[in-house]
Amino acid sequence: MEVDKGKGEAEETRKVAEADRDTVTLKSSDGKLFEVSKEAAARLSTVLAGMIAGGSIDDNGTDLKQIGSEALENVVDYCNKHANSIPSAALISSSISFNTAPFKEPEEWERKFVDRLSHDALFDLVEAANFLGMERLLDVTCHKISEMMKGKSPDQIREVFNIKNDYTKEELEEIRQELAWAFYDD
Amino acid sequence: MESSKPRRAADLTLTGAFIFHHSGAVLPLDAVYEILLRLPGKDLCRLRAVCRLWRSLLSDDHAFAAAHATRHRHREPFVVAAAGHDAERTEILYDILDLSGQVVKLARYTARPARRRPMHPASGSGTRARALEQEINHLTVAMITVGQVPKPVLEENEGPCLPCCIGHLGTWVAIDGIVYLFSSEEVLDQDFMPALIASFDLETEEWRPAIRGPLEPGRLPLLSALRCPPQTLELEPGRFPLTRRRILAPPPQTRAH
Repeated sequence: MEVDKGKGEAEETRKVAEADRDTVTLKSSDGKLFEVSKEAAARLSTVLAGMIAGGSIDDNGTDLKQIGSEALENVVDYCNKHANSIPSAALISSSISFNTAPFKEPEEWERKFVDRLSHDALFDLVEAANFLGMERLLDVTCHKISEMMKGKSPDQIREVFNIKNDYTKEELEEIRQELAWAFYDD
Repeated sequence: MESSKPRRAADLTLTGAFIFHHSGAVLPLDAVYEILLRLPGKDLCRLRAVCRLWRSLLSDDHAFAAAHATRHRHREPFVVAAAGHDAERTEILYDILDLSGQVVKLARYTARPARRRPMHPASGSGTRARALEQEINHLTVAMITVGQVPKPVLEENEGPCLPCCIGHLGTWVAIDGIVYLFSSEEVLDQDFMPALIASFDLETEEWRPAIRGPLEPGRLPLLSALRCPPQTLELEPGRFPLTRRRILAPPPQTRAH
C-alpha cells in the first residue's frame, strides 16, 4: 500500500475498489478523505468498530460530519502511529478499567504527539476522540490538558478555557479566603 | 459490542451545562471530568473559584470525589493536620496532606464535642475522648471528599503505635507508627517557615525529613500547635510519648485489666 498513512492527506483521487480491503476511508466535515487501517480503527474507536461491524462503512468515504479535517487528520495519524507502536494487549488492558485504575501515563510518542498540537487542535482532538469513542486518545489528550491546568490561577483557567466568571466579587473573595492555602504554590 | 460511549457522565449529578468552549470546540462533560480527575486536590480546590459549576462539581459531587479518591489512592496515607483556629477553639482548620506535603484537602471543623456528647462522670475522660474521637473520625470521613485517610483501629492496636489518633487537637497525629507534628524553625533549625510538619518514626526513633505544612497567612496559629519542640514530648525508647496526655483512649470496657 503506497498511501502515506503518517500524513493522512486527502485521498480524493484515490480509487477505492475492493470491498474487503484493510483500510477504511473517513470523510471530514469539510469533505476531505482520510484512509486509516481498519484494524487500528476498530481497535481504537468503539464507534468505528461498531460501524465496521454493522457494515455502515462507506467505501467512498464515511461521513464524519462532526469532525473537521485537521482533527480527523490527527485522529488518523494517531491510529496509524498507534498501530505501529503499542502491542494490542496493553491497549486492551487499559480500556477495560476506565474509572478505577491508576492513570496510564502516555507513552513517549503519545506525549510528543499531543505536545506538537496547538491549543485549538488539542481541544478539537478531544472532541473528536470523544465522538469516536477513542478512550486511549481521550486519555492522552485529557492528560495533556490537565498538565496545562496544573498550577494555574482561576483567572488563567478562565481565560484558556473561555469560562465566564459568574461569581460576584464578594463571593470570590470569600472563596479565596476560605481556600487561601490552595492559592499558594508549593 | 461495547457501548459507543464508555464514559460515565451519568455518574455525575451535574449534566448538560457542564462543558466549556475554546475557539468553537466544545469539550464534552466526560472529557472535562477526565481532565479534572487527573489534577491533584490542591489544584481542584483552587479551581472552585473558576465558576459556580466547577465549584459544585469540585465541592459537592460525591461521584466525582469518589472517582478522584480511587484514582489517587496510591498517595496514601495522608496526614491530618490542624492549621489554626479561633481563640475559643471552636473552629479548626484541618489540612489533609499526603506524605510529600501536598495539601489535598482543607476541612473546616467546628468543635463542640462537650455540648453534643456530655462527659459521663463515671468514665471520665475516656468517654469524652471516645466521643471526640468519633467526632473526629466522622469528620475525617465526611470531609475528605478528595483523598482518604487510613482507618483508625484503636482497639486492636493500642500501645506504642496508634495508627491514627489526634491529640491536643491540631498538634500531632500518628499514622502507622510515625508521629507527625507541627514544628517551626526553632525546632528544626531551618530558615523561617510558617509551619513545617516534622515526622518522627517511633520504631527507629529517628526524625524523618520534615514536610511542608500548610500556610495560613492572616490566621493566628495556636502557639502550642506551631511550636512544639520535640523534647517536650519526652520520647522514650519503645514507648509512645503521648499516651499519658492523649485525648483519645479506648472505651472503658476494653481496658478492664
